[in-house]
This record gives sequence, C-alpha cells and structure tokens, in this order.
Amino acid sequence: MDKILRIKMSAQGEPAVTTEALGAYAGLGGRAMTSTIVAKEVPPTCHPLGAANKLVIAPGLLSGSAAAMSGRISVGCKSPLTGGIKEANSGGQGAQVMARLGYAAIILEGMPANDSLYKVFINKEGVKLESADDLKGLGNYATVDKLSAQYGEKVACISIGQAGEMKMSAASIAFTDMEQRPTRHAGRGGVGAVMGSKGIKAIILDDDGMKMRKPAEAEKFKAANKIFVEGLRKHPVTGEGLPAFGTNVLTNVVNEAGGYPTNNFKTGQFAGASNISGETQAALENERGGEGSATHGCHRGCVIRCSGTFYGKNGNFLTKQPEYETVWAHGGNCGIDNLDVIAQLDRMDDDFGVDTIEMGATIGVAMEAGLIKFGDSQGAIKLVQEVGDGTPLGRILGNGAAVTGQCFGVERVPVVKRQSMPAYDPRAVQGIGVTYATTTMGADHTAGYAVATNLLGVGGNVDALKPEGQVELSRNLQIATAAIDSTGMCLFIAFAILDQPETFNALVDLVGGFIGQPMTADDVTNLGKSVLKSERAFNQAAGFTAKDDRLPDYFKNEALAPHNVTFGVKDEELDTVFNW
Amino acid sequence: MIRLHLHVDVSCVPLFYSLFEKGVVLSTRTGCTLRDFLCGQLGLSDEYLDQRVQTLFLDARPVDDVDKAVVRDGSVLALSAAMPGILGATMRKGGRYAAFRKDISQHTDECGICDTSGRVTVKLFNMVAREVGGGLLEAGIEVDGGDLQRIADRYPGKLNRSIRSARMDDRAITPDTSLFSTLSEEPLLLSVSIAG
Repeated sequence: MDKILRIKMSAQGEPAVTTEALGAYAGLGGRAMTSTIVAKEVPPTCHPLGAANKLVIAPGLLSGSAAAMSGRISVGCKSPLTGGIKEANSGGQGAQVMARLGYAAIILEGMPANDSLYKVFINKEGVKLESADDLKGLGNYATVDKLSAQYGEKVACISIGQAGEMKMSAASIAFTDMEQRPTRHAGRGGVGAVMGSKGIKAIILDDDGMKMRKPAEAEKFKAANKIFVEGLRKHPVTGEGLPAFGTNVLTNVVNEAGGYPTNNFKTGQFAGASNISGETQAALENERGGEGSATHGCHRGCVIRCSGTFYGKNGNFLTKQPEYETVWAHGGNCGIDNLDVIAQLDRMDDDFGVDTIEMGATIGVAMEAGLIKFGDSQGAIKLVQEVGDGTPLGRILGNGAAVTGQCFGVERVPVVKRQSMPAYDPRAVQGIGVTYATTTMGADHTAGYAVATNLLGVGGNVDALKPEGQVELSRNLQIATAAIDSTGMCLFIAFAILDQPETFNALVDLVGGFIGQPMTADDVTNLGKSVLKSERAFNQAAGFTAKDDRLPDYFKNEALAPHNVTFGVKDEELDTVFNW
Repeated sequence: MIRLHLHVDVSCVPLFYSLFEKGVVLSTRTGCTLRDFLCGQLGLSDEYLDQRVQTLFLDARPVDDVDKAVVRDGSVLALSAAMPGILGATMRKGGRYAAFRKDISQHTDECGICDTSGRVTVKLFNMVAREVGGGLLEAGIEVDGGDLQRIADRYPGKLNRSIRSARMDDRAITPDTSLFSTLSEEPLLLSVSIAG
C-alpha cells in the first residue's frame, strides 16, 4: 500500500481525484491511519457534515496479504453523533481488496456543490467518478444488486443506504462480504452520514489483476501464518465456540451474570434470553439452511468464522447471523424474544444503513418514552421502517438515542458522549463501564477489547484484584486495542494469543515477517498510546473535557437487579485512565 | 412427580439440550464445594472442570474458586466453556480481568461446608451443554412439562420418529404426538437413554 487517494468533492466543476505518496503517513494502517489523518487534517471544531470534515477509509497494515484474520478496515472522521473523533471498524472484503489495489487510505473531502450523488470505481487502471443518481434513495441491498450487475460479482462494494443519504447520525457504512452482500458495517458514530454529506453513495473496488501483498520475509511469514492458524483452530473460543454459535454465544452468559441490559437498562436479566441465545439461533439457522449455516467468515482469510447465515421461515436468505450486540439491542433491550423479528430488524438496519446498537438503544428509549410498549415486535419494526422512510419521527430516531431521548423528555438514556452503550451493563461489569466512560469513541465496548494486554507487553503486571486494577486494566486494554485496530487483525484473535504462547509468538513473527522488522512490546505500546494521544488531543480541541468522560448520573444512583449494584468507580479514578 | 423415560436415537439427544439453558433441577447432596458437587456427584473429571469449564456462575455470581464456593439447597449453577472478547475474559474463572466484575463476583461462603440435601438448578451453556448434557439426561433431571412440549412443538416429526420407546411411572406407553401436550402442565422427572 504505497498511495493515498483523495477525492475532493468541492473542486470547481466536477470532483477532483488525486493520488499521492504516503509521505508523513507512511507505516500507518487502520485506526492509526484514520486517527492520524483526522487529527492532522480535520479542524476539531468543524461541523461534522460540513466541507471541512473528512472521511478516511484505511485497511490495516497486514490487509491484502495472506495473513489469516487480517481483513478489518477502519473508517474515521469527526463523528456527527458524538462530535468527537471516530474510528468505526468493519469486516467484509473491503480491506483485502483496497489493500491489494495499493491504497493505504481513501480520503473523501469537501462537499459537492449540489445534491448529486456519485459512485467511485477503483481498479488497477485507476479511479473513475461517475453519477450515482440512479442509486438515490435505494437501500444497500438494491444498491449492491445494481453495482454487481454493472461491475461484476467479484467486486467489493462500500455503500450507504437511505440513512446515510439523509445524513442521520446513526448511519453506517456497509461493506460487502464474500457473497457480495452488504452485511458488514462500520456502524458506530454516524460515519455513513459523513459519506452522505460528501455526496458519495458507493465505492466499488475491483482488484482483478492485482496480486496478494507480499511479505518482506516470505518464509518466516508463511511458517508463522501456519502456526497462527493452527492455534486459532485449536482454541475453544476461536476454534469451537465462535464458529459454532457466533458472538451471540454471549447471551446466556451475560444474562446469567446479571449484566444483560433489559428493557432500556432497567434490569440485568431477561426472562426470554434462552429464546434468543446463540445456542437457539445456531440450531434455528442450521435447521433452516442446513448444517453449517451457523458458521461463516466475513472475509477471505478468516479462519474463525464467527458469523453465519439466517434464513427466514420461507427458507430464503434474510440476513447474516445477527451478532450478540444486535440480538441484545433489538432483543432484550427492547423486551423482544423472537429471533425472526430480530433478524428482520437486522436486515432493515443493514439495508437502510444504520448502526444496530444505536438503533436498538434508540428503540429502547422510544419504548421508555411510551411510543410503543416494551416487547412490541411489530411496533419496533414500524419504527425502524420510519427511519428508512425518512418520516419526521424516523429522522428523530435515525439520529440516535440521545436525540430521541431529548425529543421525548426521557432521562434514562444510556449514552456516553451521545453514543449508545452496548450490551454489557456497566453497573454489573464496572471495568467495562470505565472503558465506556473514558474511551475517545463514546460508549464503546470494542475500544477496550484486546484482552492479551500482558502478552502484548502493555502495562506490565497489574494486580487484577485491587480496586484500582479496573482503571489500569481499562487503560491497558484501550492501548492494546488501538494498536491491534491498526493492523487490520480481527480482535477475536486476542483470546487465542492470550492462552497459547505459541500462537502469540506466531502473531509476532507474522507481523514481523510481513513488515520486515520485529514487532516488540514497546512497539505495540507506543503505537497504541500514539493513536490514543492523537484522539484525545482532537477531542479536547473539539471541546471535550473530563466531564464528558462520565456515565449518565442515573447509573450511579439506580441499582441494577439482580445484584443491586450501582456504578461505583469514582470520577477521580476515571480521570487517571490516561495518566501515563 | 411424574417419571418419564424416553429411549431415543442418538441423533435426537441434542434436541433436549435447550432444556439446560433455562435450567434443570437435580435433587442432590448439598452443602458441599462446587468441585465436590460437579466431580463427586455429577461425574465431571477434575481436568474437565479445571480446563474446559472456564466460566461458572453460582446464584448469578461468577465463581473464581470451585474449591471454596459452596452449593446449597436452592442454588442456581451455570456452566460454560470459555467465552469470547472482553466479557469472556472478564467472567473467566480466576481470570486476569476479574476486577472488572468484582462487585458481582462470588464471595467467600461464611457458612462453610455442611452435608445436607436439597435441590439445585443446573444450567449448561454452549459446548458444555453438548458434552455434559447427555450424562445428566441419562441420570434424570426435573423439568417443566411445558418446556418439553416446546421442544416437541418445534421438532414434531423428528422427535416422534426418534423415540423408540417410552415409560411413564414404570408403565410402557405409546410415544405419540399427544404425549407431551398431556404432560405440559406437569413437573416431570425426565430421563433419556440412547437406543443401542
């Protein structure tokens, strides 16, 4: 990846396309690339939907190579949802194909002079910008169908649905999977709205004629990759639990712990959890689609295969296997325990192009407001349809839980920096609450997800049983995650490298063999810290203070059943997370 | 309580695993450590308990030490294999991220060990359900007839075809389609054995 593509939408006449060398951005990938560019080139006080904001799309450092699990892509900008810096991460084919085309980043900047929509076609010959007015108002599925008919079934598509066109703050960006379905999303923070504000409906990537990216030390890389894959396959999480049951394997466990946010974070256990568990979902998928339907990779090179395929009652494809977060958001958080309904909602979210977490949390707030009752499945479907239709109510809902709560006078809105909390109640799992409160991203569980911190050499040894251990653990997780997010590797590798030293060593050799120099613990720490430092600086310049690194007050006062716990980490402790 | 025994083809045993998600009740010795309960009474090996069952909950509290947690009459016990992500690492028995959930963790049982008897609800999730469930089904579990009815409704053809014989309170019965609906309001002691 030796070049950056810039598409300036504000140029005189037609938008201007330029390609430039990496320059100061050399050696960066994924989140490191997006956050560095945004921090350097986007005025922190700009309007997120204005000309000064930029949308940066960057594959990871290892993307496009034969490294297993290297297909993650990062999308960065100033977020219209949080008002701070954003990195949203996705699977799908985009990273692999974009990297093989040689682009370390695509930057969309400026704003079109009118409301024309464009599509960008990129292949080995170059870049073409064409009118996409024929795609206006289409959902992601219909958009990709048309693009596939025009460009072929092998291209990778990056697109927005109606929500992105309408610049809603919950809008996502869709990335097609191996079956060319728009099922993988850079969901969080309204990145789809920024793409919509640039007038770009779709980016089509065709790597026909391009080769896999070559490692610097081929033999070392190949040997390490083999051991890495063996390690992932033999670990119970990556080799058994995730392929068999998907991420939704967490439902029963989180529910049992009393940390499953139910009915808009009112209680920590949901009576209907077993009806929507990963076990139940996998059995249903395999019954309807045949054995193996509950196991599917989101990108070529994925050996974990935590996704799956959900067929409707009629036997036709409905959506990809809904993830744990989606099943929770539209399920337990809304009092709904019907997998067919949840899958329908997931399909609608993917088609309209909205973040499933934000959408589910928003419906939960709408239920709290009394628009519909908790558990009203058809009501929830109608509300999400309003988002896709862009009705006045839909525009409120499509801008997320904070806006919805404000419009309807709801106090209990589970957001940090105006981004909705995911599927773990911070009163039961307070360390995750520390991450929700302090991450630069707004309430985000994946910001502190790379659990192999000790092996990655981040933070030394922490006494996990001491109360202040939570702050230190969250800090180290955020540093390690920022580093992993820059490599293009899927975060689910973390458990296998945590437990199996040979798998960890293989990862180190894999990265080292690819880039041609060893990756040390200091490298990981320094990379992670550097990314977080840029992000924190941006947010501070955008007006964020320590007061924004807090959970809503009601989490400190309202006890959560069954354990009757409140969030007890003190503000002064939260303020030490980034002390290093 | 009605005793229902089903003699089934091996292929239909997994249909019953969903019973373990909501939980089944065992009448058992209580007042013992979790290890004694799981290994001494339910027949899990020490190695399986230590290596495979990475996540356990006792009365909704994550357990770190199976030699200190005590099972009592009325306890609810849930077993799982290792779980993914930060949540999986957090809930893990003796895990590095246990501090994240210290406010809900299983505390030291001050009452200590005392040999009594009682009823314990056991839940089995994911791979553990597949690996341990068969043994518990064979030994006998207390379930709600309604939960068995739901399985029958979901797999009517498959279940009926797979039941070779059935006994209710030691009387041979015909396992026809109405069997489960007639029992749907009853608590049952269910046992399932595999036809050779």
